[in-house]
Amino acid sequence: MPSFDPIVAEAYRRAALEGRDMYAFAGQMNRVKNLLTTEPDLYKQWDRLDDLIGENIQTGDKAQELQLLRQAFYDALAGIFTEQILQTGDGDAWQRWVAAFSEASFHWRLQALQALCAAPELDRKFGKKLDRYRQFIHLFLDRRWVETRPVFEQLAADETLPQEQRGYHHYVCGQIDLYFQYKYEVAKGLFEKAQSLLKGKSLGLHGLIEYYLKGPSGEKDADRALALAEEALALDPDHIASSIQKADVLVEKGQLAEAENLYRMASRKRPGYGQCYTRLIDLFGKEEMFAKKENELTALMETVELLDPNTNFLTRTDLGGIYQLQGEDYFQKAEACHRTAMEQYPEGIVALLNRGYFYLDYQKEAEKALVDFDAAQKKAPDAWECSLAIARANEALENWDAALQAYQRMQEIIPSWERFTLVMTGRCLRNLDRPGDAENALLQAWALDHFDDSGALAELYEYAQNLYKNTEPPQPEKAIAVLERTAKARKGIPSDIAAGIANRQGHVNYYLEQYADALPFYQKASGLEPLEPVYYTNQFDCLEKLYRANPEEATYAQAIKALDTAAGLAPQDASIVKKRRQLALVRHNPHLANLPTLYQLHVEVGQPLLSQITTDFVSLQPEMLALTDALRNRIRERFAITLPGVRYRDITDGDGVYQFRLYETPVWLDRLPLAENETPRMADVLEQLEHFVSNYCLDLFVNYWDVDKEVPLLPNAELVHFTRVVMALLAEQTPLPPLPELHRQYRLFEGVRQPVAVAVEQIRLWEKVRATLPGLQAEYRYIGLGEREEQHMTGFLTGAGNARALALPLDFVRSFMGAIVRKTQEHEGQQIALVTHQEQLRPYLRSVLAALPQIPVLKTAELPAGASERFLAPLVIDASDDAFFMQTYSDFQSNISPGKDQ
Amino acid sequence: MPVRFNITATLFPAPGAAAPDVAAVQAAVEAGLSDFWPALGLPAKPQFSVQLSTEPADLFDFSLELGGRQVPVPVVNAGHAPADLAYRIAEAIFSNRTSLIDSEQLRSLRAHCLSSQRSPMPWNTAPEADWRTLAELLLQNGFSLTRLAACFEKWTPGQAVETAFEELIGELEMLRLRVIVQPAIENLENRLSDFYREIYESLGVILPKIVLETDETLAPGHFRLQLNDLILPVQYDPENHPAPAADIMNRLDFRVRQCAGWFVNAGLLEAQLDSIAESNRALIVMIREQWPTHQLCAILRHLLSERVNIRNMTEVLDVLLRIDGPVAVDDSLFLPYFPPVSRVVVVPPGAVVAGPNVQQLAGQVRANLKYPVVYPHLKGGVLPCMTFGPAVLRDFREGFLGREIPRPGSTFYHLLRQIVEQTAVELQQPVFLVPSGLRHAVQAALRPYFPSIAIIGHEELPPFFVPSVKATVTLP
Repeated sequence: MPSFDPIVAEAYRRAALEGRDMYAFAGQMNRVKNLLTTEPDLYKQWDRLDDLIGENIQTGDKAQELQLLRQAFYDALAGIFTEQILQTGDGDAWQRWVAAFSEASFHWRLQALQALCAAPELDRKFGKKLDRYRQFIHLFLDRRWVETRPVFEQLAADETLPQEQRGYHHYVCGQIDLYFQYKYEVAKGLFEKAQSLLKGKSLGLHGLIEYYLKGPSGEKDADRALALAEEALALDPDHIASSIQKADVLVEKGQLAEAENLYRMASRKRPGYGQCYTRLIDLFGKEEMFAKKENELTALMETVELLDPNTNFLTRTDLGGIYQLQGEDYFQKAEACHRTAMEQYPEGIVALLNRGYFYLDYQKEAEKALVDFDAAQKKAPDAWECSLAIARANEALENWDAALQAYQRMQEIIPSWERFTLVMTGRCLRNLDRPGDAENALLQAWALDHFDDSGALAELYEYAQNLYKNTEPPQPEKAIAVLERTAKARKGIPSDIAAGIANRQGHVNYYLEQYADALPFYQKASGLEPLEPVYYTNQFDCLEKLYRANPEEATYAQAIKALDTAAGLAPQDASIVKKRRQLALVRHNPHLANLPTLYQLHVEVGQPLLSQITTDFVSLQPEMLALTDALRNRIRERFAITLPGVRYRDITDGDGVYQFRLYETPVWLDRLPLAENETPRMADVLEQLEHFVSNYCLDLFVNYWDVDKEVPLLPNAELVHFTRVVMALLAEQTPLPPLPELHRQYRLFEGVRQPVAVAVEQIRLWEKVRATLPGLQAEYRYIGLGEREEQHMTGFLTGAGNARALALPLDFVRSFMGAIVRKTQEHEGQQIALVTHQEQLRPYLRSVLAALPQIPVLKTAELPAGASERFLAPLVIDASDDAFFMQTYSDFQSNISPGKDQ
Repeated sequence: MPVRFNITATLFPAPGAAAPDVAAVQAAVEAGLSDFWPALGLPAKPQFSVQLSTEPADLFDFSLELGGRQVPVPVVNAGHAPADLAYRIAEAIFSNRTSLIDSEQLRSLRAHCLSSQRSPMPWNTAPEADWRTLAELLLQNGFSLTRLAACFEKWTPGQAVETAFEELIGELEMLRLRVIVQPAIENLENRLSDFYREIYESLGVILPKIVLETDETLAPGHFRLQLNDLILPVQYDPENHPAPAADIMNRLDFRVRQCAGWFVNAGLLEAQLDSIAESNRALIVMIREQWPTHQLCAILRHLLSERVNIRNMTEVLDVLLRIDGPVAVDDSLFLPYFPPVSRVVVVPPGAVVAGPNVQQLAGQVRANLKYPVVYPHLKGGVLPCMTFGPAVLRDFREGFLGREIPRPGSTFYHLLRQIVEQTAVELQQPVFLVPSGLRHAVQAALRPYFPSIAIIGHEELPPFFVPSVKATVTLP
């Protein structure tokens, strides 16, 4: 074991040159020296030094003295290795170099690997022999693991090396095969070999743990992985990599809090072990944790930077990946992470490719991504990662030829990815309108796809689907044949997949409404997979359609039987209950399909208006369509709602020139005011319609579904509450901004927690709404509610929340209305609005004046500047108002009679 | 030996006309009873008797006692030719069918249920009130009392009997419509498609498939209508209706509209909710959270019993979702503008604000639907209607009218006479405009005497509809 003295001495020299407090520095160095000299070897000393740095970071210290010492240590490594290899002992120096390299790799110490390849004397001694290993380091830093594999394989096979290291390198080779080549069986073999070489050691189980976590879908078994992880920890409870691996298993099992605890415990045991922190970063990047843990990410990244000055750029770009997942608000941060990582290691391609994928997948800027991918390929022309990235970007740009070439290039570089590249080339060929080649490629891929992980089947499904959905004329027979070939392309396909293929064959016929032909395929699927409920519900769907066409009891019974089986298999599935109800309804009334649809809004017109439209809504004359669209646009712009489709009908046989129907009920019958010899125009009718809709039923044209479409993904309670607020505002003819904007404001003051009336009052005060409130315009004069009247009415308020009510004695109501009528008569020809000081009273006053929508009701806070000059005498009830109202009502009644008055 | 249930009709001869043929009436009513009585599932056998009064007909040309208790019968108007007397008596018995359930009958039904159970059930201890409520629910909605035991099997103590009832009739198969005709009747099936559509358009009810059956034993022009479990009284008048198919369809139409609420159950409602949920998910999620299906069914039935079109189900449900807070209880002339924002109720001093029962909830729905409620009564763009004077309204509000059978000389009798006189021209469907809070009370009091009367609440008028008050009915 080398002495640490020269390294400490070098650290002293550097500290002095940097002008540090040498007294403090000396104290620190003595302590470190004493601790390190007790460690048995260089790598243990290294770990200890890292832990000391980690401890300092955890206590809030940046550990600059220790980092200075560690840098001196890194710089001394070349010397240490040179001495170890060239000047000690006899025998084969190259073999000693290989042993040193193996040990460095075993400890995963990049600086040691670099020192072994860069030490000048070793370079002189071994010359070109080192090139392979220098290249290995570049590949290592670029995470091009497949290309590093031959070196790991060599270390694994070298029987002169310690068994522990060979076992470890078998494990690493297995990891590469598992994660990057998807050679599951090979990987498993390597992990088993590693286990035998590392017998009795925790590390020996790591490969199999990973296999059961990330292996082929049929082999995945998180519980088994967890049991193995616990076994590894039982062998060595202090083995930090095993603790981390157990936490990894917990993450896969969704036990995130437990995993976090384990990572944190590991970081307390080995504060200098960088993986504890990188794993926490990964964990906190998960959707379930990000919102709560976002604030910790920066500190964790700083820790990683301090612990691992050489490769933290990889963690940095990974952090960028986490940010980009969180949506647009984090894109800037994500891009900055990738950029910083690129600056830290400009020779590398990892961060460059990651940034390109960020542009491609998140910002949807394929051109920009392609620039990064091309730049990466210039740096590493043989990296399959670059070919894949270029192919992906070209796919996004629909440059199918270029994508195809890139995939073919990728296939040359990494033949083990054949089944994937065949799928991708199949997709390109399909888009290049070479269906035969595409099908061949996909079937070839599928034949190789023993682990069902290449996506070949999904592509084949899509290919078949295109044949009957998007091809003109549709080719259902061909689609079924393709699926049949798929079923036969591989021997011994699992029954679930065979069932899936039969199910898809059923879909072809179902789509073409050939339900009787679809049924046998679904039956075949359920025969192959009798425990899959969806194959029975698909049978039900066919039988239901057949029953609708020909209501035979046998079909009904068969349908119910299929549904019963599905319900038995999936008792919680609410859709099965619904299906049963729908079939029952069909059986209940055989003419269900012929029952008429209920339309929201109709305009019915008689002669001579009829000539201006046709009776057929679909072929309405262009000018009528334009008029209708203009009306809808006006309503949309003013009130932020979409008027439903206006339907036109001929009522030549009935009364009147035109009539409006709401939900089929005639609600407005009128004659246009026309001068003699004037021809009525549809434009005038639509003007009347606009008047009617704006004054009387705006709120009918907004419902939860409309709001759901405009402000999606609201919780139900909020959706309903917000919709009511919108309805209430519209019921007062309040012009509204677009609903998403209105909803943002509603959220700002936590509208959902308020009673609807309170939320409405708050929104009315929002400048965007207030500015256009009816009653604020210059032509309005104001009548304040008298002080006594206001006091009285406030006293009549009862209840709370949405159940609040204004309980008015009848005589008061009559007098109040009498006073209102008196005031309107006094100011005839003048537009007036009623104003109250009491915010809580305003909506109830609006209710009292429901039949007089032309009189807006405002609260003082809503009034415009200078409103005080527009006030008329206040509304004060006098003794005669009750009688006055009754008289007015009576006069009104005596003036109307059926058939005469409108 | 089966228990006998006494039914007595007293006929009042019309002044100046020949006295009715008592024996003929007796025979015809007995024939009608033999048609519909067994389907009711009552343990007693009817013992029908007819007697001729010496008093002349006035508002009524007969009175009816069921089990010794007089029940309301429709007013007869001299200005209009009434339907066949025997048919009207049978119809009055059927209309008052819940009055056929006396305690003795209930005891007998209970004994039958207890004897048929295999092991003691929790409902063994159900009180008479629960038996009565369930029995009334069954008969009111067209089901036989033979279903009582099955109904109780779905009931547990403490549970509302309404829930058990809804559960019993929840499957769509429970709703049935059967027409039994002579084999000679043709072309009936061809008319059904339009019939389904018309009923759906005007009431929003999806009728069950109409099962057409033939019976060679039926007399010429005779037919039977079965709605759910019950056979309905039918007036046969082949001489005046030479087109029997059209006649049958007319009677069917009349009965189906009258009993439209019978064709609502949980199965149908849930299926409709599923369909609405496809386009209005949040509404249905909230409705299912807040309103039990049995309550929704009861409200819809109530609306249909008042001929309110429920076709716009989305709007009906939305109104229900908005209902909270107190409801109006008296004669407000003013309209709540928009209930989610503000509700105005007019409460007289000391009045207790009522909780929402089915009638009030249905009232709230009517008030919010407005157009479909009032439109059928519009004429020429206005609503011709009548009102009641303040004293009459007060009597209705305070329960002084409508509780007892009107007898000559009583205030209620006088009020009915006033209504007949004021509405002489339009007796077929007189419309009264009343304060919303009183609408249900007035309707409940008057409808047995004027089955086609329409009572509209002020709240139900859209703001731009103009009521034209033709007369005000007052008391002397």
